[in-house]
Amino acid sequence: MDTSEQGKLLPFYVVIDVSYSMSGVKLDTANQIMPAVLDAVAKAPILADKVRFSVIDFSDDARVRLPLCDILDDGVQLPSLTLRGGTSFVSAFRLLRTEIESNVKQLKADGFLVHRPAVFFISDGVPTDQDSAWQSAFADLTTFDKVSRTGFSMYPNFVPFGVDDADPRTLQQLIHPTGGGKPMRMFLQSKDSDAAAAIAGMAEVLISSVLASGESMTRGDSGIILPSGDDLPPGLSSYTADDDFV
Amino acid sequence: MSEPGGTSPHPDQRDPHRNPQTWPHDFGPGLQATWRLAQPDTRAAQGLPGLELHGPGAPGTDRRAPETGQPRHVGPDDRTRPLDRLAYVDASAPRHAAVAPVYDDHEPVVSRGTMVNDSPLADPPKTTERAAPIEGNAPTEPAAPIEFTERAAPTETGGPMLPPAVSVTPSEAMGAFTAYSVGDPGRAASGVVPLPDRENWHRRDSVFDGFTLVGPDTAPLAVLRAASVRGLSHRSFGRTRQDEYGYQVTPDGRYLVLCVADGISAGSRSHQAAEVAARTGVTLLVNELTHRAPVDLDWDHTLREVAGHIVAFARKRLPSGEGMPAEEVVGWMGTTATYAVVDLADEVLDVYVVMVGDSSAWVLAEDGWHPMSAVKNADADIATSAVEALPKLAQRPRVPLRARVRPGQALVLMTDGVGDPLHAGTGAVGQFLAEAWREPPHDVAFVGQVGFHRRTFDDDRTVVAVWPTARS
Repeated sequence: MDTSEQGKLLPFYVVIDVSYSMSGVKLDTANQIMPAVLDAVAKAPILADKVRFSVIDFSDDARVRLPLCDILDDGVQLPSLTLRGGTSFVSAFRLLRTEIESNVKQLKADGFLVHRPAVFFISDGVPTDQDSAWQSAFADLTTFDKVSRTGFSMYPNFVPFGVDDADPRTLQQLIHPTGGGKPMRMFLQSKDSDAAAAIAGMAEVLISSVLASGESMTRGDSGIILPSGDDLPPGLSSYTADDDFV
Repeated sequence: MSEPGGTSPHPDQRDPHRNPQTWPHDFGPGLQATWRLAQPDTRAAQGLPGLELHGPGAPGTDRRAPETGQPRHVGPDDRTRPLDRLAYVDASAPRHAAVAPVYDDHEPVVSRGTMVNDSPLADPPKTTERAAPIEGNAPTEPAAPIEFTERAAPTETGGPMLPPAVSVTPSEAMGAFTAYSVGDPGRAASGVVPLPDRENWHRRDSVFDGFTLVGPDTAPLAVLRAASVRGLSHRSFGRTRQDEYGYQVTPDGRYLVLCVADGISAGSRSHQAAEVAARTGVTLLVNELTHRAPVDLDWDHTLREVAGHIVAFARKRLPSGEGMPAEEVVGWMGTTATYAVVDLADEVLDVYVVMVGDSSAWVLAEDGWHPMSAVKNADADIATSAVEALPKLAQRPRVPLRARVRPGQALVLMTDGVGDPLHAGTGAVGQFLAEAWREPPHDVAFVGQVGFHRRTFDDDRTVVAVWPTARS
């Protein structure tokens, strides 16, 4: 059996809030995200060979709706999201950590190398958890000390998206990493836009990130590339971890 | 993928699975060959090999019209014609349709089919001498359907009218080419549409060499194969190959100097850094070896010199490159470089290897692959691709790695396009290449093997391999 000559994959986790507030056109638009991603990947064979996608939805609990997979494989059934309950960030972060850990371990056991995973986290509300609880769960997901090698070595790049009632200051704390060579950003529904347009814009950002990441891997970069602030689809605004909200 | 005046990249030719018959390659400046196998062809019957040469130095070059000997005029009509009708020939048409006499009354349609003069850089022929049309050689592509669509009345069915077919001598040719793949070839192997790099028309898509080094008594000393193949990813995104290789033997014939270089992807001019590292670097080492033995080489000094040449090139050629420091140059044009000095004095070759970055050196022995340096990413949760690159050198004394390569073994230098899928050499790729390179393969087969398909591995591929010959 091959040891490690299977190539290098880039996993994307699309995490979608399915609390009751996401009802109506928001949920419908969210359900169009993965079909749009699939279409884009199908047209990019270089990329199709090396990206993997997973869909997780969360409410009071979090569920893996699409286990990490090659979405062009025969037999892949894209999930249809339905609503339930509240908005527990803790459940999403905990499930993400266990999924990423087991997925990366499995991929490595199968002989693949793995780029740092990217999480696209879409929410329209404030967490129903205690602040300290979701902050702690997020730290468990994203903290790693390279020197002592403590924490979660497979921590993902985390890109929050907020629509409607999402609190910018809360989501801003989810940007990870905030510094270094490739800081992530968050994306918010613009003030003059509606949530459905913003979610459709998020699908575009996700797709352009996936495509740009594929091309940047050609240029030797590792991991994901976010579209620059000038290239944003209508309905969205982009912020860094340092931006102020007034 | 091909020299202006050579074979055009027809959309159907992009996939070697679908169109395995042609495989164009460089044979030096301006010369190109199209490798044809298993093809009904009058040339074979005439005793000509299945290789066709095109270019300024080759007979039957198709850059000028045989009728006039003048450069073929490309008028506004040519430029305004839809590209799909102008640029591509129909590779699915029978090749024997291109036998010369059929087209005596017409402009050589192959010119029309190859975008010869559409490149702003294409050189017009210097002479007005009539190029001798060699039968079966000049029009290499059956572009007839395009031409006749425009000139002749349509047939009753509305399709293109073809001239009557000439009788073809039964073929004596044999052989076949099938693209190599190891495991799942991936969707890119068949799905990528290869695009040219529109900023680097004169940089070849892929190159290869193969020769035998002989001693003063003409006894063979070693056999060399080298190939550099543009990766699927660069083909897909229309970027040039950033890998390069170089080789040179010292004037006294004692030492063979090799290099493989991998221009770092982030720099738009990295292929030029790779060229300098491979060519100038090898020459600098050859110069050193005229007055000192390999053990006495000052590698740090030579590498600094190579870096200096890259910086000098950048300062001269980059926009606002004047006075640019090496730290900045490396962002524009950086390259890995792995050098080997091979002592040809004995049938057991003494090898000295020095590397900047992750292009690797291996000894392929009877029992498999022996890496001359640590295998990268052998122990990491999350993979990285950070590499050291010229002209920015880490300040440390560089001690050459040593190996002795016996007849039956091979010294193999490779860029990570091959090194990554080979990994530790113990898997399917290692097995494939070990079997393929037990002995020096046919040089064209070697290119195909270097370019094997395997899912996710779409980087440029470059290998230089040397097999010592047993001496009596």
